[in-house]
Amino acid sequence: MNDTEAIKRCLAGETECFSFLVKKYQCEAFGHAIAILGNSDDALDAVQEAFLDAFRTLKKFDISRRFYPWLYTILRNRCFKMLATRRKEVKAEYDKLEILSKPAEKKFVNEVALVEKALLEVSPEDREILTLKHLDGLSYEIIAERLDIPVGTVMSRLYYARRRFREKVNSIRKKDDFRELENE
Amino acid sequence: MNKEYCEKVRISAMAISDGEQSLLSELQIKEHIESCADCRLELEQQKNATELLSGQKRRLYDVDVWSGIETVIEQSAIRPKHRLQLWLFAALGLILFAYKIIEVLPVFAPGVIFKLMSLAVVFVFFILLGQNPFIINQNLTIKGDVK
Repeated sequence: MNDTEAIKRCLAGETECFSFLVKKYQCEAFGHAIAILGNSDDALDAVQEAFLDAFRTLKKFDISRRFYPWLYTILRNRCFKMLATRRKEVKAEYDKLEILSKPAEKKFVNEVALVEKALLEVSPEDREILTLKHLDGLSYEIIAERLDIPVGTVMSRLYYARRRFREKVNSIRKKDDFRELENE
Repeated sequence: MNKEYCEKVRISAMAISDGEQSLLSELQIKEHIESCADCRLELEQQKNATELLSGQKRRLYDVDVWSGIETVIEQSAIRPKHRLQLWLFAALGLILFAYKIIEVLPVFAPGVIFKLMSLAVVFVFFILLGQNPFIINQNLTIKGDVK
């Protein structure tokens, strides 16, 4: 079964076919939600809500398009809505890696921790575009499609996001708490 | 040096290093960088930050979202058979409503509107709910002692 067939069967009343789409994209969606929200608990809520929203509005989905970019739009709307209501309550957890995977070699542990911390300190909007570009390796055109903005805007947003990320990296490096982390 | 042009050069240089189309040509960028120390420094620092990010991989998760939404989806699903039942219910309601109006019209009085209001409220309520009031929810359970 492919996405189109699953959607068609789902629209025809075989709702169990939606599980095919959920199981196929749940991990990817979860990774993207974490990149925006910064923590796994909220990310799980956002992904569940996004899939439910997608299910409820499946009739509106243009079957000629790919499913995941459409789901991503729903997911990011959910995430930003969640951030708007919970922004003050949510605190990122710096002691564990949520966005990045553990490095294969031990010598890169501090570098990965530094990048993770800097990513968690930039805004969700910056974190989203940086992870789409650098962790997913998406082109400007695909990022533009995902975020529903022109390619020129992707270019400038990415530039300023990288600059702010760099500033965070520099400030973390200067802070004493990171030196302690390096010694551990 | 024009600050706006410097930004344009930096953004273009970033796009080229990402393998994308840029706002300015490579020659224009090269010429500018040779004469602008600020841009040279900025691009060097930017390159380091980009390398730091590009060497990373997204953490792969193994989550189970389906089990959390399965029941909700099953409950909210309106199968074609149920949809047909809903339409039959709506049609029946409409016929009864029309019959009631025809029945009360010969003896029309201002108070009749109030008599019809309760019917209209119930009808609109179930339309807004989008549910058949005669469907029994089998998932409902009774908790505690039942004598």
